[in-house]
Amino acid sequence: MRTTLARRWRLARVLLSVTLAAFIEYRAEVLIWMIAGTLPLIMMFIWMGLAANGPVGGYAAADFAAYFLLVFILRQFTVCWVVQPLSRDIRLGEMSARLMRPLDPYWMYVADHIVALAMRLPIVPPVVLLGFILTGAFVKLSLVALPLFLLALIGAWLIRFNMHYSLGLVAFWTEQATSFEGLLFTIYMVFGGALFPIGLLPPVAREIIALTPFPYMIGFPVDVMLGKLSTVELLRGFGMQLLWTVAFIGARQLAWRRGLRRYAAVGA
Amino acid sequence: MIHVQRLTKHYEVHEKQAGFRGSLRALFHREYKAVKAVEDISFEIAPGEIVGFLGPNGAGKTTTLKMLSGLLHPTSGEVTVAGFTPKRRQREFLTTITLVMGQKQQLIWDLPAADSFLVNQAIYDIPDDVYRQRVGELTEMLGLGGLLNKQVRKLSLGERMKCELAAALLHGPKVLFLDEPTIGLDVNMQQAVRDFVAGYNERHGATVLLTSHYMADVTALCRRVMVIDSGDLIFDGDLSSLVEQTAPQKLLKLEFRVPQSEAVLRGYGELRECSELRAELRVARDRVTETAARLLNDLPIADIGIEEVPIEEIIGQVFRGRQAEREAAK
Repeated sequence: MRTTLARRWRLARVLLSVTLAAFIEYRAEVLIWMIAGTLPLIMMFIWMGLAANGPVGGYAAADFAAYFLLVFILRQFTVCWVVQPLSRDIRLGEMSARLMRPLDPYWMYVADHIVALAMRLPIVPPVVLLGFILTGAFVKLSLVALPLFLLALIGAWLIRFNMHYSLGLVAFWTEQATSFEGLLFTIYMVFGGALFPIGLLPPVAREIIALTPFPYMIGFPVDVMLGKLSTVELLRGFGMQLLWTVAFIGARQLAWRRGLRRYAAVGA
Repeated sequence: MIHVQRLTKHYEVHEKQAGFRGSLRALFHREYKAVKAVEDISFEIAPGEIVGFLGPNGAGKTTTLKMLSGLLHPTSGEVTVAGFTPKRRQREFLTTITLVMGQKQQLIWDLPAADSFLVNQAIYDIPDDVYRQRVGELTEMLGLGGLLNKQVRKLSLGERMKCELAAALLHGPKVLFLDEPTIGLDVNMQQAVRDFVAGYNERHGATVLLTSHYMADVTALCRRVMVIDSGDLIFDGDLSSLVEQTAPQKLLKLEFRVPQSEAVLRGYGELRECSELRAELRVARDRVTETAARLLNDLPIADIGIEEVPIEEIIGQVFRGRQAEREAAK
């Protein structure tokens, strides 16, 4: 047991450090991706402008500032591009080399994404902190909720990564996996709450959206940090995160087993 | 070490005509064609053997190798490798074998090969002392000194292939599947890879099954060859008996003291090459001695040599013969 743990720990360490070394080769690209991820900040300025002469749907300018600064954190720390490399590796047969090693290729892609988060660590928090100072939106935060926020952030990451990984595995059957990704992204941005707070919508729409996985990847963790949720709402939110995480991990494992069987049947 | 019984692999490929019209048609009506990649082949390979797998492109060599390494599931038939069923892909199986594909790579492109080695060390859980000893041995055998710390993308094709081989052997596999390991390499580098495979087999008693387009790889490494064509195993045995069985002729290489006319030489056999003082004749195997004697008697011969027809030509002949048979059957 202990040796298995030690072995896994060493594997994780080596994978992450080697992946980091590879990422450093691409540091300029990483910076460009981060700049490309500033849409939430633009949305922040738009909504702050709209709320300049009085609150919109109960949100004052400072509320919008706090909301979108947190959305920015969520977007940056749940960044996920796994569909592209995964479907490419499957279509071009690169998966074969990965399959020859006694390690589920999943972990190689996970390592890539975790390293991408680590590289954002020195940049994103200072930017957000500066945003809070400039907009004076600090008052809107509930700092006691920080541990819960971090938990919700992990939940958001797990849902998003496993959802995208499952989608990437569609490449076992069709070459069109990447075109679904665009559609998924749009739904995610709207239903997730990256363009406007879901709280602005009528209750019926909110209830429907609450049944989808999307708000748990952005809106829910943000609301946790804003201290807006009652204990019941918190429990419900974390329950839904758990549910969707389990669902997408299940979907991923099923797609992987079936996909491998097909890969093995048709050849790469 | 390797048992293959009645192994068969058929697959369906989806066919599309070229161009926009073809794409449009394929959108609504997909046409599938069954491909018989491997048809009912059986063989056994003993521990420590090096076997060459020959055949034209698309004959089923790579498909067979992929079934042996667990990447493809057989349509029917049985395979065991070192006591494992490859398609289950158990950890113990994967650490016992290795598959090297000359046209696919596992090394991380932007990093030195040493980093990829470290990843493999962790994945295969190789203890540090064993790892150091193996890297040392592979460095010596492959001449990797100085290569391991250069970015992979800055290596030449041959240098990269050496590093790929080393990465694929770090975990000390007992069975090596090598698919075109020398493809695209220059003659010296091919030689280096060949020497390495022979040396590795000798030191570790590893079983090797290799495919190659370069006959020199096979003649240098393998006493036993298997020839596959259109999914059928058409020959399995000693390289030398393949030559006797399929090449009914031998080659007479002649040098003359005085220039000879082609017309005279044609009387002795099939004339292949002829310049003034040199000629090459193909003569039926059972008449070689007699013809040589006659030539020595009749003509001013300076030198005479009797050789086997080059293996490339023999294999070529086998495949052309089978193609002709198939066409005749239609």
